[in-house]
Amino acid sequence: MDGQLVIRLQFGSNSPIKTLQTRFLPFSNLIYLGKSSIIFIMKTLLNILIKILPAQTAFAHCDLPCGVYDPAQARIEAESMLKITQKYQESKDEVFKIRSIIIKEQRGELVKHHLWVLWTDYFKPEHLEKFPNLHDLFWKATKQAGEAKHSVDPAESQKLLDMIAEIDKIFKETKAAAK
Amino acid sequence: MSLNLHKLLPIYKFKISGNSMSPTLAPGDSVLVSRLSYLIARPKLGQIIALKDPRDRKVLIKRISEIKNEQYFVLGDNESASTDSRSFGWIEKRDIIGKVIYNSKVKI
Repeated sequence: MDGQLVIRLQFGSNSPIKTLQTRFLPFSNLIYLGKSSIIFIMKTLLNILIKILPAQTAFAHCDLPCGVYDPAQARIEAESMLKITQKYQESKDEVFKIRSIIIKEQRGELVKHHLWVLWTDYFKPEHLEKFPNLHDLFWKATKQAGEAKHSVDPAESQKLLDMIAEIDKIFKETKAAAK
Repeated sequence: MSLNLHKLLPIYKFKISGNSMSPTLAPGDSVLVSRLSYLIARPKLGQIIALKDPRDRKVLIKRISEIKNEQYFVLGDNESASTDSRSFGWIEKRDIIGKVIYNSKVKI
């Protein structure tokens, strides 16, 4: 057939054969596709996109902000981690040492939780404008909570406490400015 | 430093965190959001959209429940566990990121 190409494509074993006719005409290219083929191709493309695109988080939360925030919650748990590591170093009791590590893990998770709540719920964009290192500080502090979790060196817990103290300083300044 | 080039794309992917869109969307589901849909058409009742929380600009996924004077009242499908326009009020079109066009539950 002069000037005309017919291509047949089969989409999957359960799909009917769809005919894709591409007619090479002197002045235009026209592609004829069945409606179900177009839907199938669109769905396939979307299915690929949803697999390959990097995801951002969208919240579908029920949040009931009580408005009560204080870095003291994170500090108390981090102090507990520091004391645990000091007692761990002094102890010769294997059972005590195992219990210490388990409890320190739990306290570390609580530190992370309390820091995240402060970071995401209390601090607002206007705070970030005034304290541009805020994100970096929280990121480093939550990372340090992880370091303190998998270490029995009291120095790691002390570093965490120092970072929480920095956050506390900023927190108090924002509270004072709000009064 | 990441360039976040995917943010220039007309389609964003979001992962759902929370239960307020249950049973339509569960925590961990992924959705594709078209940023172009509302350039040519207006948001319609019943559509699921991604929007920025007017209070803190966090991204939320909700359904349009009422439209009045170019303002939109959005609700979660699981109303008893949703923070939505009942808390933060009507939203403007500029708060809308785009329309949810696909979710990871749909299998082909």
